[in-house]
Amino acid sequence: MRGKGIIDTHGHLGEWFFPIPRYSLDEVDAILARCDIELCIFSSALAVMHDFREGNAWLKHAIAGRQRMAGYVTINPHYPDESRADLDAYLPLPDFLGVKYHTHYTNSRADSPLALKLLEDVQQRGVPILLHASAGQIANVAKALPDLRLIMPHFTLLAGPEASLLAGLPNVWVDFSGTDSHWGRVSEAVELLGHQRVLFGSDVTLIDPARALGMVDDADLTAEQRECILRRNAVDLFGLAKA
Amino acid sequence: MIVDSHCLVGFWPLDRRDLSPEALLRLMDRHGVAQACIVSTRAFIYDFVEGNEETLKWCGAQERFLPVAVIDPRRYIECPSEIASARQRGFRLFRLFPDRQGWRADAPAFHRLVPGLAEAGLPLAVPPEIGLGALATRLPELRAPVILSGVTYWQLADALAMMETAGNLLMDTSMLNSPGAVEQVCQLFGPERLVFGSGALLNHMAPALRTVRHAQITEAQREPILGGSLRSLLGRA
Repeated sequence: MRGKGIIDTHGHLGEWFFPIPRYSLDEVDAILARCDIELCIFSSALAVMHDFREGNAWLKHAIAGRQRMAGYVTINPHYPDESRADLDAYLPLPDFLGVKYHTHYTNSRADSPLALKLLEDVQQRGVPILLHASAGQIANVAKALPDLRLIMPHFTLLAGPEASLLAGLPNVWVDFSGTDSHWGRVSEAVELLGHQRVLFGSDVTLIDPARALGMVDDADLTAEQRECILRRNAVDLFGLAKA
Repeated sequence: MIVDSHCLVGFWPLDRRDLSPEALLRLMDRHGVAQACIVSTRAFIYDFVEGNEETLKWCGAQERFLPVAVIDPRRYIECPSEIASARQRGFRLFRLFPDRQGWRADAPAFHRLVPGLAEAGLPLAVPPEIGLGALATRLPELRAPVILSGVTYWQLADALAMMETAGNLLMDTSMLNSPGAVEQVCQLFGPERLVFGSGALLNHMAPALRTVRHAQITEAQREPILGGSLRSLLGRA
């Protein structure tokens, strides 16, 4: 990547069942541009909340040719064969950089035998996974699959004891997406995991990236830490320097 | 001129934090916030009578702080006198904490306090966790402006529906952070029904400020949200 803008590792494209305006892809592009986001990695909201296969197929076309947009392939452990088929279909494409798995919307546990088997497949493919699950589940998966690179979203929502489950796990990254803006959570993530393991994730289009930027504004970060969180860590994790 | 409708000051027992008046002033200076409505943490965690006195003391020492009175219906007995004397003692706003105190708008104690709150005539700030359905039934009787504080995207539908029918209902921006949410409320109800609030020092101030500054609205609409609407409300009070 040649630019110097922000890399947002947590976005969703598509409609919501909340009173959030329906944005066109051009309008989403404009939101990213206003926040100096050079690249945002999106999952399909449809794929996360309902039909992952239809959502993945839609996302492929939605992000095609858009410089600021890349994709996650969403999987559902209740459909392991179909999930593997989508991993086969989309991960070879240059626009897809990782995998998304949301335990809440699939009523599943990431550390269940069913999910672990599928996640082992993701590990073999060597791409990062944005895994929406409890810290306990993330820690169990990280220990069971030490070569799987896991991103835990919504670090701001974790209470102290739960957050500490992530300490010492070399294959876990976190983002600070979410609705709340609890004081000090970016600094706490840096202290707990090191600044190289904190990513800028906004949850756009559910949450305005302006919120996450504000979290960085108020955090007591050095210039080096800020650069790593806003960009460099994502470049390294997703291998974007080669792109 | 930016006025923050929702700031908290005092000792914080749940983890180690600096919620001192000095820390809030530093944050306000950093972000160009001229005034802040403050509540004492003691007032909503432990003793609202003592906490309200603490709030008045801090506001007496710092003119950029505007005092907000807390009422805790769990203690009930002392609530009516605290409500009745609030305006005379200089409070500009009431703020309730049912989310932290474990009660809702359908609680009998709160029900009995509504006439007094209406009589006091000060604006009232409440979180959606007060129970929006029960609050909706109380709004006509309350008469005073009521600010829904901390409405998130999953509560927004009910809040919008209530604002359609209750002209005295406003919303703060503290959790209104979905893309287009500020614009949407502004378009539906006008910027006068939105007030800036951050929840500092428990929350950061910059995310809430950035969200309003990032909103695709005119400067004439942004000014009331960042301070004008609230100044008008407090001025009326």
